[in-house]
Amino acid sequence: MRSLRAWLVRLRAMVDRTRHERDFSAELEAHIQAHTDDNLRAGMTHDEARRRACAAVGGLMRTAEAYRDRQTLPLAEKTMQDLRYAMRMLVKTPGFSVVAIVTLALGIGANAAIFSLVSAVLLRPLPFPEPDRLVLLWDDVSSLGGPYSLTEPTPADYAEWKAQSHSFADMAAMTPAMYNLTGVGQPQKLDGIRTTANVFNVLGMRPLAGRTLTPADDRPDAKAVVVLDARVWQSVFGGDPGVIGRTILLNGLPHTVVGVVPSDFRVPVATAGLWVPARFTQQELAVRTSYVMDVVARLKPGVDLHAAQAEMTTIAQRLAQQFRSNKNVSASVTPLHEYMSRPARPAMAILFGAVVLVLLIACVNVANLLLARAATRQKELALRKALGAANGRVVRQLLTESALLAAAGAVIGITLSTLTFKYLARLVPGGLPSGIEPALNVPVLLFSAALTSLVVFVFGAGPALVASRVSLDAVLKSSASRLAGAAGSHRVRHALVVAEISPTIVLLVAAGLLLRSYANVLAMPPGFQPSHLLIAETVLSPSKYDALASRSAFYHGVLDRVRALPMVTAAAYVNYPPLTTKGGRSGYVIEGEPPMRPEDILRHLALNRSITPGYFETLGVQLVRGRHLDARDRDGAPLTVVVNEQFAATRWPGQDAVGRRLSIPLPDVPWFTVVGVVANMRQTGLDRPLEPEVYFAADQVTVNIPFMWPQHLIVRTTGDPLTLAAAVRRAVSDIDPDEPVSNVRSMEQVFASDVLDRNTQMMLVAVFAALALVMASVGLYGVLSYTVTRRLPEIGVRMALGAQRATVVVEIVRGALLLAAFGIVLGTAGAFAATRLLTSSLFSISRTDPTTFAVTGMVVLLMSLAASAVPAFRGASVDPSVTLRAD
Amino acid sequence: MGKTDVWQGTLALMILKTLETLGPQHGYGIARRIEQTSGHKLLVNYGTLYPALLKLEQEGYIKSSWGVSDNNRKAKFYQLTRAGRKQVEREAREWNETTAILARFLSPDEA
Repeated sequence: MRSLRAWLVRLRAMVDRTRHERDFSAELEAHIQAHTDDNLRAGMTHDEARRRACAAVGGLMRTAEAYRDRQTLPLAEKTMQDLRYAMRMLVKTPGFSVVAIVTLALGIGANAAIFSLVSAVLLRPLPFPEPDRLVLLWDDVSSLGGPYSLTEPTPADYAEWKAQSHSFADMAAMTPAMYNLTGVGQPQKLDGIRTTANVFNVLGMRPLAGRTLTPADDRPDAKAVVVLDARVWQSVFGGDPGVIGRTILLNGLPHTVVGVVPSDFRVPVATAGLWVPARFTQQELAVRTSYVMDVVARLKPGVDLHAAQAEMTTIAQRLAQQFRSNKNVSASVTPLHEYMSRPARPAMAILFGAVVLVLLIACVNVANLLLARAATRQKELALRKALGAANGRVVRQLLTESALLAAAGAVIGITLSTLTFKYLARLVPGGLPSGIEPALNVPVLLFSAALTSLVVFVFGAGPALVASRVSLDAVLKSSASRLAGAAGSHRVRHALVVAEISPTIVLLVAAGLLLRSYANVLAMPPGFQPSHLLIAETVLSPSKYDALASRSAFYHGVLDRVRALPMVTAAAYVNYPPLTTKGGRSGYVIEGEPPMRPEDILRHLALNRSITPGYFETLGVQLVRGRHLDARDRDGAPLTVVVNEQFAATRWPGQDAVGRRLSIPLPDVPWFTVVGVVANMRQTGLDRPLEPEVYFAADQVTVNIPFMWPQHLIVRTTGDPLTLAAAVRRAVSDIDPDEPVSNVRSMEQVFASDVLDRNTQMMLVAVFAALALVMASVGLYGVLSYTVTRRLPEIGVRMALGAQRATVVVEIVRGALLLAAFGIVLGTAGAFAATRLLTSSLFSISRTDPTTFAVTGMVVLLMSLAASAVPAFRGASVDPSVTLRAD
Repeated sequence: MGKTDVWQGTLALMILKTLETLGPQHGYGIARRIEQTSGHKLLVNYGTLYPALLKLEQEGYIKSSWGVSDNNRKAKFYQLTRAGRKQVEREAREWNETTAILARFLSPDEA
């Protein structure tokens, strides 16, 4: 293509354009010479000949201009010029440039990082084929009035649903289980899942190696097999493909490894490392009173969520008529993805809201800065126009400057977010739901880029438009016009300051409320002494320790050795110490009360814990009435329990609990006599309500339910508890070398992880609020300095006429505070509305807490005062003789 | 727009044809030659002549070099390239066809 060639030549010509211009001047001169020679020959005088030759060329300047346009690429040329000029302007005002770029980088960078997190949690599909057809099925018990609305279904409900429903291509049931893996290095405890074999088909999960489970594996007479999760495959077997076909010992029983699957599905247990065929027996599947199944199903093609829900509701109604235990129990169908992302949603919504506000403030701030600068440059712009610059050209120049700023901000911001993302993602682990690994991804970067362009347009065009309206004489004329000022642009800039302060108030209020919630949580008395406590986990394998006597021997053996260690003042075993599990409840009946109706079970739940003697003494829990469980409460002795004050107060209000009897409404469960009442503890979380608790003596727990077997060793020490870890491990392996010791930590670490989410969330919002405050101060300061600069002559006149410095200072500061007050009023109104988002994250504080709002308002007022101080004193230290002479 | 294009296109063809006839020639010479050939009915606007020359050169139809004119003055001489010769042929042929067609439209009593 000839035109392409021409274009390339023109592009190249841009490089050494001075040489080309000299060349053309010479050619033109030669042309005129030749013409002059001709004219001379025609008999003209020398001057006349020359004049005519020049005239014929048609105005040297215009010709040269036309030639130059053709010689290179005018558009690129002008853009380069604009860029060079913009760069010069940015370098000339480093303060402005740094503030603007940093503001943008923070806004965009924080945005990219947080948006990645949010999109990972809320927008990313599950790594399964047709993930939107995957659903979880629940028993809906909301009409029972208990503390829960949805619970895991009973085995019998699962069996009925599976038999009666037609909406699902397939349905699988799982239940968590724990396994001791022995024979491969150190013994270890692994979370596992007992599952029907079809779960992999339902999910559409392909094995990484070997195979997944088949229906044949689920038959009662089949050879025992296990499928490994990829993490266990890596951590225990080093990713060795040879592990397929190998036999490993789980809870002492041989299992053949048949395959490895990816770690994509983390329901019901996020850390599950083993998949074992459940082989549910008819007996197991007939249980109607324990809510232990996790049911996942795949919708048939063409069946939508509503249709499936409608069918399940019908089935549940039928069951409710057939079985007493199903009375008032409905069924619920939830999309899998919604379930997996639900826990993190409120936190993500808060973060996203904070980021949007910060980005808003950042944009307003930069717009404000640009506007202020455009205003101080009015003279320059007017001059350029007077010298013939086209209006469009001036606007383009301003737009180029904004684009350069935005591009710099975006590049730095995105780099920043890439570098800090890993850290940020690690900061929010508890907030991130299971099965979702966040990563900064391309769509997010595109989103940021789109946002940047939008920002460029908004704050680039805005100031440019305002600036382009400036009329020449208004600026170049006398100082009279300067005194009047451009009232319109003033209003815009004041509105911008208010627009920065209001979201700042919202963020500060949010940060304040979260901070105080955090402090409130930390100040909650846990009900025990958390310092100097060591916790270690030992999970007894059900096959080896199914006899109570063998378990008791293990506990007492380990405890005797641990108590003999130096630094140890007390030790005990418990199934779950405070803050380590959110579950473990049963419905309790009281002797002498009418038998509990099955539908009432959920309203009479209490946490059940089983303990060895010395547990309360080890934790430092106060005995309120009666006695502790001790060596008397052995197998064969009268059955005894201790309850907490909450239990006693709700079940025997105003009466003595000691001596009363309680039981669990299951076949063959005997009565237990209450021998003591202990103080309440925060069992399921520092910020969770107190719950009724029942403590059984471990030596009397005959049931074959591993959950009720003590599996946490608690040791109270005089020094740093973690230094005892090795000695405790030795004590356990002295008693049973096959018994794994895992999760050794101090109670303080448990505390920290309990409040980690809250802490993280608070920190992030506080950082955003601080950012907002800084940006708003910069914005306010910018506006005030600009105003003062414009008013210097006026101030000069007034001071020459006898005005006091103090009057000037007060006036400027008053202007600032007036703006701040506007922003505070608007922001407070906004915060009243926005804190609704926070409700679920607050703890014993109202979302309209007056103190927090008042303190926030004060902080912003103080900030405004500080921001106005420098401009005010600059204005007041004006020397009238200097400013008046300036014009 | 349209007018300029036609004029520019025509000017380009005139320049190329002039160079084909005269051999290497400087800008002023080309302009004078076009004026002479047209019987002084055309007046070449020098302001458009030089951009047109530049365009032809950028497109590779002509090339330029500095030389000495008849009057012993330094001048920039333009000459046709091989691509330029082909272009003259092609453009001349197209021009002739166009004018022939137009002539048929314009001549009376032909139909």
